[in-house]
Amino acid sequence: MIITRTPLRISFVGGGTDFEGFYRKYPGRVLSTSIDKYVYVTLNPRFEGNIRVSYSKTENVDHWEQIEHPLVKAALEEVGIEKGIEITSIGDIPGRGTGLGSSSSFTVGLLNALYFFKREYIPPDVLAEKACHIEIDKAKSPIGKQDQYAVAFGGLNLITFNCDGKIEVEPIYLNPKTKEDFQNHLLLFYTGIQRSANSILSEQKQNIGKKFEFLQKMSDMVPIFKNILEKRDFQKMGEILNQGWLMKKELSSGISNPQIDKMYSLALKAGAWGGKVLGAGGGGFFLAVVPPEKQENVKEALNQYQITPIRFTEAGSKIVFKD
Amino acid sequence: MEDYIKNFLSELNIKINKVFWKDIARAIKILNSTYENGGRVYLIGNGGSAAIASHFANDLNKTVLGHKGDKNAKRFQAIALSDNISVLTAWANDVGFDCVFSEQLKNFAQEKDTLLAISSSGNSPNIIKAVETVKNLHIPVIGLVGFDGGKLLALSDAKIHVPSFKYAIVESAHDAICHLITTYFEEIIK
Repeated sequence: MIITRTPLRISFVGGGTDFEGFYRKYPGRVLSTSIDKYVYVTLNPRFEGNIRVSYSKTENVDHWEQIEHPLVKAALEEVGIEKGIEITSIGDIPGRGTGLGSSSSFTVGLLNALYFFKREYIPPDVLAEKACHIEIDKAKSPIGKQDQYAVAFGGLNLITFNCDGKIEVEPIYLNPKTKEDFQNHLLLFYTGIQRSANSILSEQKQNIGKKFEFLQKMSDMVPIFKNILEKRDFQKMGEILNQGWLMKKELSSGISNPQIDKMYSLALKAGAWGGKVLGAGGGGFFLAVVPPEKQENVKEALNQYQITPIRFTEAGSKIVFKD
Repeated sequence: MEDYIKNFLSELNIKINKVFWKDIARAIKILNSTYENGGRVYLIGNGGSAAIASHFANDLNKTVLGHKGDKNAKRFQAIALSDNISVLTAWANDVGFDCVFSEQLKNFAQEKDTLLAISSSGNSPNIIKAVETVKNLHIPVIGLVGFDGGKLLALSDAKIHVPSFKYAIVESAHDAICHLITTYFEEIIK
């Protein structure tokens, strides 16, 4: 039995610049952090010799080629395990389309477990790149590469996607007080909308040409955001998130909707400095930057939405149990 | 006498300031990840460095919590392998001194753990053997070294190098850096 634990992530700025169609022409940048919500993948040799995969549904098949789950199927093919294995996954935040990067956390955690099962060690950068290959090339998900790197490495990072294809993960080391204050300015609400990121992202991917300048601006915002964070100017951070959100809404028609717009304006009216819908948009989680003295106001204004406490974390995907 | 005392303090000041802040930050990140994952931190060293290992293990296990033993916080699991005299002498007597740490690590080490190795020369055979043992499990290594860094500098994932050839300076600086890390965790563990 092997258990891997892989964090979910929150992305603050730069989402959309991690598509190859963009960063091959202009460097993409993303600033994100792993959080204390996890995806656990368990793996065990299968006595019956076939394959059992258990997630929101259960599949019992004889060979990897018959698996329906596109990521599990592609991962088993990639690692070269044909049968004789049982895979289950459990998440702290269930459901699809949360905007917390859960599908990449699952893919990274699964690959980490599968390679460990085969007694092969894969360092985080290779693990991330292999997860990108599984999700983007094999399973044809219309996603970028930020999530796989964010959760394979863990921590608060500035990730750069260079034009030559090289990806760099630079940790942002905050002093304890700044880190604590930063976290204390954030509120995470669940919109209650479960959406599939793929339709939004497909449109966004097709629009890379049209929206190239927007994406350049979003990428250039990332180092500015980092400086402001290190200077502890949380109000300015909120404003940048707000600008980023307004720009992002232009990228694809499904990124916002009347309910989200209403939620956003209620938060601003109640004292939030800014915010964004996480991930692709369209639903999932809404992150607001709110000064501590206004947090009760904002919680009251958005009291119909579930609030989720989060803490930043440092660890990437890890084998936490083996037997 | 004033010169003698001031020279030492100023030399210590100069050498400790040559340690790169990002290397210490990297060590803190590794320790933090291990703490989050419920992994253990093994600390090893010989002589004065063994004393630093014991001291830092105590700080991680207890000092970071402050004075409240009832504090309901997740705790570090730090083990100074130089503290167990019976195991240490058993391996040293029966097999050899170079395996006193590596053999203990074979009992305990898991993928989610971390090794913190302290060696002024960076070349102590029992330290290098221990590092090689955990490298097979891909456990991160934090190296606290002095002199020219020795083999340990090259093998470490986080390299804390005090570039002095005097034990007194190197060990004093190592102790101070361990206290810096202790202070950091004291602030973040609530």
